[in-house]
Amino acid sequence: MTWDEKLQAIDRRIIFLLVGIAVALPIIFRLPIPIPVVTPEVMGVYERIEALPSNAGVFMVFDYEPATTPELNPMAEALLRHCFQKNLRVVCATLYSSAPGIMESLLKEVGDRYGKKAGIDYTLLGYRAGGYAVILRIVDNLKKGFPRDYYDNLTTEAPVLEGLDRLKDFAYLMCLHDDSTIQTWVTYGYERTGIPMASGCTAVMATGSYPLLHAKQINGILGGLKGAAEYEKCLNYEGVAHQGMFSQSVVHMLIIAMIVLGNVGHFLRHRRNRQARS
Amino acid sequence: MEATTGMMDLFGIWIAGFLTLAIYSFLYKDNPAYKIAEHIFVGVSAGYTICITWHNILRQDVFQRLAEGQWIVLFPVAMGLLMYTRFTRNHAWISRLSMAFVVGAGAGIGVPNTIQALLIRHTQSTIGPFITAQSVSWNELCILFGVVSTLVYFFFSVEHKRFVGVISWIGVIFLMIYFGASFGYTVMARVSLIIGRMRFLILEWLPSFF
Repeated sequence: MTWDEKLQAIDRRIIFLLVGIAVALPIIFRLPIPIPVVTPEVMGVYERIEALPSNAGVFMVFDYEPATTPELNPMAEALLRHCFQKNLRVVCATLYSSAPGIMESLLKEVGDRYGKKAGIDYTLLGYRAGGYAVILRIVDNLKKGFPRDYYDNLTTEAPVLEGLDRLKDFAYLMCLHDDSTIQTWVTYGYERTGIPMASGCTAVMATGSYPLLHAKQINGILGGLKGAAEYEKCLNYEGVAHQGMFSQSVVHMLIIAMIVLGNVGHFLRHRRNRQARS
Repeated sequence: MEATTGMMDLFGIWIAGFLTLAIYSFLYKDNPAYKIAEHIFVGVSAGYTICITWHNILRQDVFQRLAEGQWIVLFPVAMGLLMYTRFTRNHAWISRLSMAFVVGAGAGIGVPNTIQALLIRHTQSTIGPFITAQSVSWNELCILFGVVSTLVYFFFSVEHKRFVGVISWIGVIFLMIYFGASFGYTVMARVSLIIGRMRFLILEWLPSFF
């Protein structure tokens, strides 16, 4: 077997092993990596929250499933930290049936760290079926859209929702999503109320959010683990996203090397075949 | 009580660790451990969905509202039940009533809103700076050229030759750049997922044995 044939026939399990090692080593040795730049997309979200007055209402949408928590939970944690630092009222909801458990554990963890109380400083409205119908409902009346919160308390009696009767009463809407639900929120939420919005998404969905940013329907994007790491840098702490970026970089280098090797093998074989024909 | 909670947490970590390794074992080859993990996932997902449907939909939106005297709820319930007539050959046509309502309402609400939010708005943002004679940046020029050339590539009523062919070829380049950027982001997303699992295995699961 010639070199070019060997390069073309690397066992995929060897590549899996190399990727596993590349991910594990930086975690084991806790290698740090600097985040040199915060992109304008991330800065847009940070500056918007930073400018909000204390006690303003922030609506956070957790439209993602447990499978994408490694990417979106660090982002949600950073945003919640910022909101709680600024003493904002955080109201969380989802259109995904599998998201309430994720929201509950995250809100409790971050809320306890800042001494925040459920129902007073933040609330978990939970899941409602209906997709865009739910958004249309809360545009007009939040408490009819979500009559009870996740813990079965009446939303009409929740102190945290005082003065927050419809979507327009909120100062900011942050949609964390692993699908295209941002478009639903923009179409039925932003277009009907003009509420300022941001997108926090998995890296796969980031390219789909840029047209919304260009059309000024959202004012910022946190794209994948990188976006979360940049937001952590804005808040001056090194969280899960920051710690994951070294592994991310090593794997990217490995993948680039694999692509180069694969192409070298391809062109070597191509040249050999051409020489054999002539 | 605390000891019981601690043991439960530990038990949860062990189960999660076993299931993670079982799923990743598929990377070597298909095996019974992977099959067990896969079947557990399907079963737990179905059970969870049933619970959520009961608590968040049936109990809250149907039974509680009926208990409060909101009889109007019976209308959507009846429409929903009509869908089950599809299981009988003679009465399957009745389900079309519900289907017609869903499609009609969905299209009526969806079409104008989507056109306004995702078509008109984005067209405005693409050509707006050129019409209002604002200072136009290179980015905006690039976006406009990318949109037009890509649309030309998908315009099949004219043969792609000469000038149209060149513009269409540039459209292909824009598409390739988009696919490359999407693929790059996808790689980052997938690596993030393995980082999450690896962090769990190294920082939570392994220390639980000591």
